[in-house]
Amino acid sequence: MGWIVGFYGIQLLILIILIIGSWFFWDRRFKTKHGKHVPKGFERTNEISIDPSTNKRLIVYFHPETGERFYKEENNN
Amino acid sequence: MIIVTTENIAHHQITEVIGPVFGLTVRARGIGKDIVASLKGLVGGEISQYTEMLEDARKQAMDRMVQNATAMGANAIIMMRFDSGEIGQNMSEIVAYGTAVIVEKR
Repeated sequence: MGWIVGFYGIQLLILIILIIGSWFFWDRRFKTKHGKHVPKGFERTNEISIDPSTNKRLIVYFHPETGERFYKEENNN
Repeated sequence: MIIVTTENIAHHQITEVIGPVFGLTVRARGIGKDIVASLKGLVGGEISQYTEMLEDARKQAMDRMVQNATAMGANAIIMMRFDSGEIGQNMSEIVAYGTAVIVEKR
């Protein structure tokens, strides 16, 4: 009886660890923490995206040499 | 990098067409948010977990397309489009594509 409880208990524990891990560690948003400091070499574009869940206003910057894009967080007002 | 969905760019002249350019990504939600999303599916309303996933996929596809266009030597992308598909139950594929060109200001 004890080993049955242990067997399912371990599976349940693994599932809980996976859920917590995926929620807080693995499932991170893409480039939402770029912050407000734009690195050197980036040029401002006219592109603005407002995140649908956080409502944060992100101004897109572009590096002409590397082609990288930087999402600068701005105040909504 | 100028990105437009039209064939031409106002006040610019296309001097060279480099070729098609793509940016592709496949993203999934973690199991935690997936469970919450499936519960929300029962009651209705916006599934913000999947909205986030698609917004992130859109950004990543766009970033990759721009990076590829820059590597090709383009300074603009015309006729930009998005296409999307589904891989598995909780994975979403988004491709951004267009034509990489070199433009000059008129």
